[in-house]
Amino acid sequence: MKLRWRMLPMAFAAIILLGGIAMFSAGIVLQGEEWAMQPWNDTVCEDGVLNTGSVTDRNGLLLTTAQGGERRWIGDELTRLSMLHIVGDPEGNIGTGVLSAYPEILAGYDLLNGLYSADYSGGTLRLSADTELSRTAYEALEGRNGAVLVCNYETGEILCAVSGPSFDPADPAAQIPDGAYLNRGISAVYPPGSIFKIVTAAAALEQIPDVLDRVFWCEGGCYVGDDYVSCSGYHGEVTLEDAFAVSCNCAFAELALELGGETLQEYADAFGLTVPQQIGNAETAAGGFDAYPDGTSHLAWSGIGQATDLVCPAAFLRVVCAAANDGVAPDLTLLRNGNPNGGGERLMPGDTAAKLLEMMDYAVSYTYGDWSFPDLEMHAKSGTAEVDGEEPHAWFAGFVTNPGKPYAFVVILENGGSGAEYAGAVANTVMQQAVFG
Amino acid sequence: MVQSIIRVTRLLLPVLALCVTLGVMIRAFRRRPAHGFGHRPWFLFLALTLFGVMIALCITNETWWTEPLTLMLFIAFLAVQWMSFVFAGRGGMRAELTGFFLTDLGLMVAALNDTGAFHTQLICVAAGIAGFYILRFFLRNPAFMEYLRIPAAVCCLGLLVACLIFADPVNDSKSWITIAGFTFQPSEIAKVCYVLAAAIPERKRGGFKELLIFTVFSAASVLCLVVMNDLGSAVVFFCGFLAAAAMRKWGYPAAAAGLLAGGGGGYLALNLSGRAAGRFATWGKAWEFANEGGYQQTRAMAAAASGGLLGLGVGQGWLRDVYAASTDLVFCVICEELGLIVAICAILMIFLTCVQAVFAARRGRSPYLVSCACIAAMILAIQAALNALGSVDILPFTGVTFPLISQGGTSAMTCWWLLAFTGTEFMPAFHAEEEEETPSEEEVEEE
Ligand SMILES: [Zn+2]
Repeated sequence: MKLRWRMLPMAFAAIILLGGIAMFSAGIVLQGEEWAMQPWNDTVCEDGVLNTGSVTDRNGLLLTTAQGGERRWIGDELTRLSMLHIVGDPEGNIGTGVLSAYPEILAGYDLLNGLYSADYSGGTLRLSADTELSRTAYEALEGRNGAVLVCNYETGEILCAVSGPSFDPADPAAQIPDGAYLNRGISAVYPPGSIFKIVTAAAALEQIPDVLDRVFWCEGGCYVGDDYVSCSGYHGEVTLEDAFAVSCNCAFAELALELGGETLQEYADAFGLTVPQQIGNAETAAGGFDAYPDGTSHLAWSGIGQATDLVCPAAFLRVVCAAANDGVAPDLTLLRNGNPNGGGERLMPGDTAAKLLEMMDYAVSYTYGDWSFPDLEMHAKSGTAEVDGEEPHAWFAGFVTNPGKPYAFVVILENGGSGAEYAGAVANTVMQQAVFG
Repeated sequence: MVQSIIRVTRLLLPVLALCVTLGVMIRAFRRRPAHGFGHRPWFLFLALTLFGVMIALCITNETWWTEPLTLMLFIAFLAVQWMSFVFAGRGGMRAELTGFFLTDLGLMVAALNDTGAFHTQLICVAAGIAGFYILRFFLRNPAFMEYLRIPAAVCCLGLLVACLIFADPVNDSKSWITIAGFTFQPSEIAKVCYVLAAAIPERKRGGFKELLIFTVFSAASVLCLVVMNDLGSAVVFFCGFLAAAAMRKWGYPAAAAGLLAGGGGGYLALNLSGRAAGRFATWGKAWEFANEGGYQQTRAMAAAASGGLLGLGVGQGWLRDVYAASTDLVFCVICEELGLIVAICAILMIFLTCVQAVFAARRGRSPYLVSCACIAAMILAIQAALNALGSVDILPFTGVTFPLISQGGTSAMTCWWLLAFTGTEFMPAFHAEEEEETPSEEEVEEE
């Protein structure tokens, strides 16, 4: 018998040994980070909480750092309060905060060193958010519950994601207000009210060929079957642009009935309002839109952003971005240069976006008043979402087109009253800082 | 202080490990024995010593370390290394290098566990090294060793049966026996006996009766282990059987019958033993059962990945606090604290033992020595594979120890004895005149 046959079992053992180790090494190279980033990995976690890593704002300002398992925070309290929801809390209760969403960056994993870092400080994560802007936004909330989101509609970088109520993560004895762990901009959903008319208008522009030539009739309300759909005023004869600018419910009820529940739902789905949207490793809450039968007042109301419509502010920010950015919503990110290739999703054709931009511009000059937004090239739509037995939610969503400042925003004030008046004022304050600050 | 030691050693240890492995690799592929000073590789040995000293340096932050006894024991261990180097024969320093390198790692694991474990480990290593040289001395005269075949076979079966009867069940498997306060694993010692018993005798080579007895004896050994519910060891013995059978005339039919019987027996064992079946149920799906059947494997993999290529530094990991980390998960402890590079070096060392065995077969004078080397190398390789790959969910998790690295006195001792059978091809023969003998049968066949 030849020698090589005699050695077959040896060859078999050697192949198992070397092949297996090659597989394992490949696993470490390809999936090592995934394997290592476990909440029970005590190298970087304590009691399941990451206790390493630093976070800076977009300008490199150090917001929080960890050394030897202890987390330290920036000295200024207002900064801590305003950046809390984007940074996250050390206990990991704020799931969309980067402390929870980006453990692999904070742990400082790399193949050569694994999770070793010479001073046990882990890695550094640079946010896309701006501290000054966030402070301005937090102050503008004036203690009200709500959220302010600002992003760059070309790159998707989130510049500000402030949520109220907030709490001080550096003060372990701090009273944590109810719901303070919730990032209202990303993890909450609200009835959208009239800002949803952007969606209905987009659907109408594409599905009803002569919609721009139509004239709608408003006499302060209209009947759908036996149900009365009230309007905010007596608008008389209005075109689509007028109806959008003055937020005429009668016109949009008519459009919703004509489009049908299925079509509206398709648009809500296509705009990403009903499913969670990724913001890097974090994701938005899923909104909802129910398709009501033809001819019902529920269908009419659903086209006006009432009925059972629910929208997450960050998901709506994408729609506003698309309107500003030729129909493309960039991939939102919490990280500086987090979307380096400019990835995004086309939500609507360019001409629909152009028409929406025009209508939002007209809404500002015709209804809200250019004087409310000095020096800003403001395009916006307000919303006042009725809530049973409480003050309505105030919405203001839009963007500015000042040269070199491609910023989109969404402001929501929980039970804040009139959208144009209160949320609009917050939007002005924040955008003044964003553009001129 | 500790941090600065770690900062330096975590860079140096992989480099030294690579040096040692490379040196052993060059020696393993060498066709002829080195002459003059070539068989005393100073550089290689310096690297090995430095490797040991650095590991010792890293654990100095453990307070017990500075106890005089411990220090003396460690210095004695280094002295033994140097003596074996200085007195190395012409064919020497092959298996020894592998043994010392792996033992360094094993001592580190034991030292991080506790003082007692470290002392036990060192004493057993000493017994192992002593046995290594005694075995080597007698192996120079294969004709004499062949007489031990029958006693070794009796001893092997005796140990396994004794284990079956007297062992205290731990975790559903009976593998430990306590005599007068000493706890040991008879199946580990049985491995050495098995090598002695299963090696091919020079005179009765190819006899059908010999093959039959050998096969029945092997089957009985494997069966004992299956009944003991020590499936990992059963697989190790079975692979040793395959290696020994393949080298015999008509060995492949016997091996095929063994495979069939082994497959059937394995299937039966799986169906009968719930615990073993449970292990197989989570095999390949550790992450799905991360807090149940895959608990140890996922912890091991996470820790191994945390180490990266260079490791977190000796004593800086957390995996050693997980159950059975110093035995079943020891490969990942090495990955975590010393890095993937050192861990791969350890695997390569075992692999090179196999390579040496194959080269021994090409050059070997004595079928007895060659078959000893092959069976021993096979057992070491399969143990290493089952341990390392089992802990990272590539093979089923069987609880087999890693040769010389896993903590455990019996295992450390017998692995040294197994090493004595390998790397013997250039060993000077007992009778000087035999060195001039005609080319062996293998070489003739090759040509
Ligand atoms: Zn109206």
